[in-house]
Amino acid sequence: MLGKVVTLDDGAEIPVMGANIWWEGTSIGTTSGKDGGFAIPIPSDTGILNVALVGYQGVHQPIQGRTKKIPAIVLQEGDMLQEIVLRDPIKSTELSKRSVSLSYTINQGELRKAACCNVAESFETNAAVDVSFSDAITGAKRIEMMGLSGVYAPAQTENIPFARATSSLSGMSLIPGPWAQSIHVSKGVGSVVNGFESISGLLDIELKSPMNDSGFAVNAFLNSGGRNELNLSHVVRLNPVISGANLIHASSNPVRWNVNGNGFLDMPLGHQLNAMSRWRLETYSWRAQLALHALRDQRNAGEVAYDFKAPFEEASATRWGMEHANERLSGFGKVAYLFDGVRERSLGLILQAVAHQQGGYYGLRTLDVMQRSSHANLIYQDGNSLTDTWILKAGGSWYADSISSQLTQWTDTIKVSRNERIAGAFLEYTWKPIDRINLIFGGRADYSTLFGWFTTPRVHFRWALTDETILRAHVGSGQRTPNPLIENYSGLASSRTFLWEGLLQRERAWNAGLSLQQDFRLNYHPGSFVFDAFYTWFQQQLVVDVDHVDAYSLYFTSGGYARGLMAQVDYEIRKRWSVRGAYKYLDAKSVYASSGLRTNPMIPTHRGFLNMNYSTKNEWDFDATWNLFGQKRLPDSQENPTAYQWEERSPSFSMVHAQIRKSLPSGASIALGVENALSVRQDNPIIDAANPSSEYFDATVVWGPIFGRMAYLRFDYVF
Amino acid sequence: MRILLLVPFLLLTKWGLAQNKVEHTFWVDGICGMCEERIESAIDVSGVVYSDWDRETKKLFVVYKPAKIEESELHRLINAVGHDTEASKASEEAYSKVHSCCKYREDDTH
Repeated sequence: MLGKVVTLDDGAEIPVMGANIWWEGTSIGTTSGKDGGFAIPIPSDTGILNVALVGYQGVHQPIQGRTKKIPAIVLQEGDMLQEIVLRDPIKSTELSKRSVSLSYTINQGELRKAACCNVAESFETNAAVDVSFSDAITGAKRIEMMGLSGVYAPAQTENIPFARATSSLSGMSLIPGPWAQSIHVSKGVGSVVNGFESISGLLDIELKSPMNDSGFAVNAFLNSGGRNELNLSHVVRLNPVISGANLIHASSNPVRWNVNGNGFLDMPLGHQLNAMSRWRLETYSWRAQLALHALRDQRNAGEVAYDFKAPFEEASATRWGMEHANERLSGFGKVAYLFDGVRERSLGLILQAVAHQQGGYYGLRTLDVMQRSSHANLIYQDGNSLTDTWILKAGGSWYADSISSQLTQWTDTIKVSRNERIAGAFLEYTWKPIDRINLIFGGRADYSTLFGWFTTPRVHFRWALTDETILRAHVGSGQRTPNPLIENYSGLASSRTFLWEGLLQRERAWNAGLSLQQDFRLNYHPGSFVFDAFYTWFQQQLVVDVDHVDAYSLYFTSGGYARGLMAQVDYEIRKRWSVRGAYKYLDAKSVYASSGLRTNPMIPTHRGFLNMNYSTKNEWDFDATWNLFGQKRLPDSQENPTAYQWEERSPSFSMVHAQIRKSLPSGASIALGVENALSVRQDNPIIDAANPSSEYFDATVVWGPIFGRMAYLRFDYVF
Repeated sequence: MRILLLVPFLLLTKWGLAQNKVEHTFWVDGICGMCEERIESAIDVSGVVYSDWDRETKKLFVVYKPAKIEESELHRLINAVGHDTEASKASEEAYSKVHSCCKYREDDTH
C-alpha cells in the first residue's frame, strides 16, 4: 500500500522524511522516504495505520483491507514526547481468518511463555505441534505434527528454506527463540511457491527486524539444571532506506546431572555460538535483503564417567560416550522489484547457499555428514486486488544438494550420498469466484537429476459462510528426498545395528484436510472454536522399523498413512483472563516388512491440552498449561530376554508447565517458571544402562519426560 | 448442527441478563488506540462484565451489574483518566495527563 506523509505550510504540502509508519498491533512497519512516500504491506483485514514522529501528534488511521493507496497523511505539530505504543491485547496464538489454508501465528506473547530457548522449544503451549526427546541420551528432538514427523513440515525463515537435509530434524533447534518475531504454522500441504517438500504442513519463522531506530535487546535464561543462554540483538537503521540487525546467541549446558541414577548424563553437556547479520533495503520500488548466518554447536553426552578429554579410542574402550557437533555457514539474499511502485505486481528472486558439517561419535560408531546446498527461487506475482477476483504467482526454482553421510558401525560402513539437482516451474492461481469463496489452484512440475520429472498439484478452498464461520478444505501432494542416516542419528544411542535398504528413493504423499472455524460470543466475551480433520497417504515412505530389538531398519514401502482430527476452543472468560482447550486424535500407520500395516510406535492416540492465562492491570502475567498424552504403542521387545523387555504400550501421563511474568516499566520483563511441575518421569529410559556395550543397550525407547521438574528464570530487556 | 451449539450459548446469555446485568451505550470522547485502552481499563473494575469502545463512533458499549456499580461511577472513572463522556467532562488536570496523541478536545468542533 502506498502513501505519503506531509505537513501543511500555508496549505502547501511539505514532505516529511523519517516518520515511523506501522500497522497497529504488529511488527510490520517502514519509514517515510525523502519525498515523504512510503510503501507498506497491504493488510488482509481492516487495520489501523499508525504514523509517528517526534514533534508531531501521532496518527491512527483505520484503513480498509486491501487498500492499494491512501491520500497523504498530514501531521500536526504536537509536543516533543514520542508516542508510546501500547500493545493491543493480541491473542498469543492467532488463528488466521483470512488465510485460505488453516494456519496459526504464534506471536510474541506465546513465544515468551515458552520456558526456553530455541524455536523447537517454543511449542510447549501449542497443541498442533508436539516436540519430545527421541532418545534418552543425545538430546535430539522428535517433532510431531498431524501424526507425522516434523520432516514432512519443513521449516523456513521468511520463505527461505531453512531445514533441509542436515537440519531437517534439528533445524528448529538451531534458531534461538529470541530471534523469532513470530512463527507461522500452516497445516496441510503448503503453497507451491514455497517448494514441493511440504506434506503435512509448513512452518515459517519470521525473524526480528528493526522497526524504529537503533536499539539493543538482551535476553538471558537460566534454569535449575544450569542451562544458560544469552542473546544480544542490535538493530540499526542507517537511513530511511537501509536497516539491519545483528543477532548473537551463546549458550551452554555445563553441569553433569544424573538424577535418575542410571550412570548416564540426564541431558547433554554442550555449548553453542550462533550469529546472524541481516540487512534490508526498502525503497518505493525495490525491496532487498541480505543475511549471513554462522553457527557452531557441540554436544557431549553418555556415561557420567566418560572422559571427553581423552582420545576417542581410549575413552570409548571402556565407556559409552557421544559427541555431536554442527558447523553451519549460510547466506541468503532476496531482491524484489515492485512494478509501477504498486505492490500487486512484483518480480522477486531468492538466493541461498548453505554449507553444513555435522560430525559425531555415538559409542563406538561414528556418523559424518557434509552438506553443500544452494537454492534459487524466482517469483512473479500479479493480481487484481481492486476487484480482488484473482492473483497469479508464477516462477521457477532451483535446488542443488550435495549431501554425503557416512556411518561407521562395528562391522560395516553405510554410506548414503547424493548429488541432486532439481529444476522446476510453478504456477499458482488464486480465484474468488463470488464473495466469500476463495480457491487456490497450484501446481509444480520439477525435474530431479535423480528421480526424473514429478508434479505436485495442490488445491485450497475457503468458504466464509458468515463473518464468523469459515469452512476450509484442501488436497495436494508433496515429495521429498529423505536423508535416512541424518534424520535418524538418534537411533545410534543403542546397540541396534543400522540396516539400510541400499537404494535412495523419494518420499511421496497425498494430503487432504477439512476444517471448520467458528467465532462465538459467550457472556459478551469473544471465543473461537476450530475443528479440523486430516489425512495423509504415502505413495512411498521411508519407514523406520524398530520392532526387531537388534536392528534399526530403514527401508521404503508404500501405503502408510496418518489421519486424525483436532478440536480447539479459545475463550476470553473476562478481560485479561483467557483459556484454551484442545483435543487431538491421531492414527498413524505404516507398512512394515514383517508385519504389514501397523500402528506407528511413539505416537499417542489421544492428546489433550488446557491452557489458562491471567494478567493483571499492573503487568503481572500468570500462565499454566496442562498437557495430557495418551498411551503410545512401544516397539516390540519379545525378542529380548524377559529382564530386558518393556511394556507394549506406554502409560498415559501429564506434563504441567507454569510461568509468572512481570513486565517492568522500562521495557524489561522477568519470568519465573517451572517445566514439568508434577515431575513426571519415565523411570527406565535406558535399557541395560549398566552395560552399554551389551546387545541389549537401548536408549531409544523413550515415551515420556526424562528429567523431572525444572525451574527457570528468564530475563528480557529492550534498550 | 451449529444451531444446536448456539442454543446453550443463548440460554446462558439470557440467564446472564436475568442475573441483573445491564447493557448500556454512551458517548465517550477520544481519538486513538491508546484512548481505547485507557477508557476500557478505567472501567475494568469489579461489577463491569464487558466493555468495548468504538473509535469511529466514539460509543462505549458496557455491560455491568447495577447492583455492584452505578452508571454515574462509570462516568466518574472515565473522567478520572481524562476522557469526557456525554454525562460529564474530565477535569483540566485529568485531561492534561493524557498522551499528546490523545488530545481529543483539540479535534472537537463542538
